[in-house]
Amino acid sequence: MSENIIEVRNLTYTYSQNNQPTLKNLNLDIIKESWTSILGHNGSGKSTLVRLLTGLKEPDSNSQAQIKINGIAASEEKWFDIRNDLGIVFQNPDNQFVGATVEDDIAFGLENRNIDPDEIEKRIKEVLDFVNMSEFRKMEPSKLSGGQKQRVAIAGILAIRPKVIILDEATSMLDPQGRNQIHQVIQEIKAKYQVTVISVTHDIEEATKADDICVLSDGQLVKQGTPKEVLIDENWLTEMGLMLPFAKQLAVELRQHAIDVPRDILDESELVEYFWKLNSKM
Amino acid sequence: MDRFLLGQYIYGNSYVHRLDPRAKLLGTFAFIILIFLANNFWTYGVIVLFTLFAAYMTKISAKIYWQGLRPMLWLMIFTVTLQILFTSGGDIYLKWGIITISQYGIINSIFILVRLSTIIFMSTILTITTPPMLIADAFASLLKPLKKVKFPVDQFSMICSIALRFVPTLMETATKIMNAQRARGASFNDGNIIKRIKSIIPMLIPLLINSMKIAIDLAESMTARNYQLGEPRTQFRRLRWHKTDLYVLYYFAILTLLLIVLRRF
Ligand SMILES: Nc1ncnc2c1ncn2[C@@H]1O[C@H](COP(=O)(O)OP(=O)(O)OP(=O)(O)O)[C@@H](O)[C@H]1O
Ligand SMILES: [Mg+2]
Repeated sequence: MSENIIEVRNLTYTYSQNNQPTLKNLNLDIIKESWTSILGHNGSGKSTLVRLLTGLKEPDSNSQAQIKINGIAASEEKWFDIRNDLGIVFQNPDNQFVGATVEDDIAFGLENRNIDPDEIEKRIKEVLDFVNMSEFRKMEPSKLSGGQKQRVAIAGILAIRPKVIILDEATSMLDPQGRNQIHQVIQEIKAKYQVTVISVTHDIEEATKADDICVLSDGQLVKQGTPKEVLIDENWLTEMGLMLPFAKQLAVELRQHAIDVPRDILDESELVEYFWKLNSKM
Repeated sequence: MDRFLLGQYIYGNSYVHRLDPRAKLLGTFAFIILIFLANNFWTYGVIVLFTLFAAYMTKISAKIYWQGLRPMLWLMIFTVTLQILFTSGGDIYLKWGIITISQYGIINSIFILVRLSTIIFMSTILTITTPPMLIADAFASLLKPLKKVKFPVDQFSMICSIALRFVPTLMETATKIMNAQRARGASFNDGNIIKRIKSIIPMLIPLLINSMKIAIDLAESMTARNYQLGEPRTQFRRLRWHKTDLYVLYYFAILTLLLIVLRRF
């Protein structure tokens, strides 16, 4: 049985200006060292969930909410300990830089953890190499492209050697190329370090590559499972306000032309393989 | 929009560039105080030579210094004119109501001109050879003794460095808002001064709202990265004194000596 790194029970959260809760009795388990995508329509509560998972917001006080991360039960005094192993990349790269230069920004998280300057120096080198940004080390963040900014933000998170990395639409402001680079960096991180990656996204293609998908709707977890399990039903996906992966869009069209493409096909390569088989049968 | 008073940092590798920012900051302060020792043509001459020497050591072209000084030109002309017109003493060349142009007035105004321009010049040398971040670091480092009287030095230096870090971001936002409003027909460069100031106001409100949003995002990001108010944290950028920083002391010792000797003439 796989171990859970995050366990959420009965999570309810209401923004003080609103009278309806944004998250309603949400239950969620995240498998250790998995890559989990969180999907959901605009306003379904994804970013709110991220804020609660990082202690930026506290659950409603009259609720029975429980959050357990990496074996530590969350409480006000424990958040600093929990966050020691937690790295978050937000959507807007401009507003999350603290340092005046790339290296200063990476150092920020390490300085907060009281890490020795010589060790900081070593880690800056390592993580900048990893995200391929070494030559920009002395640059001001405002002079970087969006994709480069997000790579620096990821480097800054990587430097603290986190156990969990949370990305809240980290690629939504990037062009397809920048997006692909970030996806590649995350794949490499997964391969090299033992981390759990939680990625909030509107990019359904990205989600097809995840180990696990959670779908939120109106502040509740409505489905969780592997991409094959979650993304099988096109009608349901549309109902949830989600896009269809390109291969599935194509499959829907093909079915209208009496080619019965199996429903569990999620990406182009599987589709191509299916055609090969179809071809050899004819 | 992107030119600042006193000139912006220009990358370089001269002796002055490599000096410890604290040495430069203290040197600039010391210079400003030492100027008040000057009282005659000799001493002011030494001050001017010292300034030119320091500027020469930065290996930065005179043109760039001129650009740094130019915004202050009006202030200087204004001060000098006041001095000439309202100081009396010595031979009087012209008298008209309360206005007199006298020998002392002219000499005084020359001295004041030298004082003002060398102070601005020296500050320009500081800002042109030192990145703002390092000036902030130096400032914080020199304030450290204030910790003893419970002055929040670390928070203060964090505030300074964040403010500096967000200058380009705010500039960018301001430009974006101006362009957006230009696209809808606003103009920022026409009309008299009152009209121009009025046209800035509708720009300030979105800028303010934007800054609030940035501040909220930044605060979340800092918390998420485990920044804790008042907790001990290490400092990655460390300032270290080098032997070459000591030369500054010699230069200033020589300057002081010259001024003390020459002011008797
Ligand atoms: N600061 C806030 N104050 C009040 N209400 C808020 C605040 N932030 C979000 N909300 C509300 O909470 C709900 C969920 O917002 P949230 O940002 O979590 O959604 P999301 O799933 O991240 O959406 P998106 O895909 O657009 O990022 C929305 O209805 C929103 O209006
Ligand atoms: Mg969101």
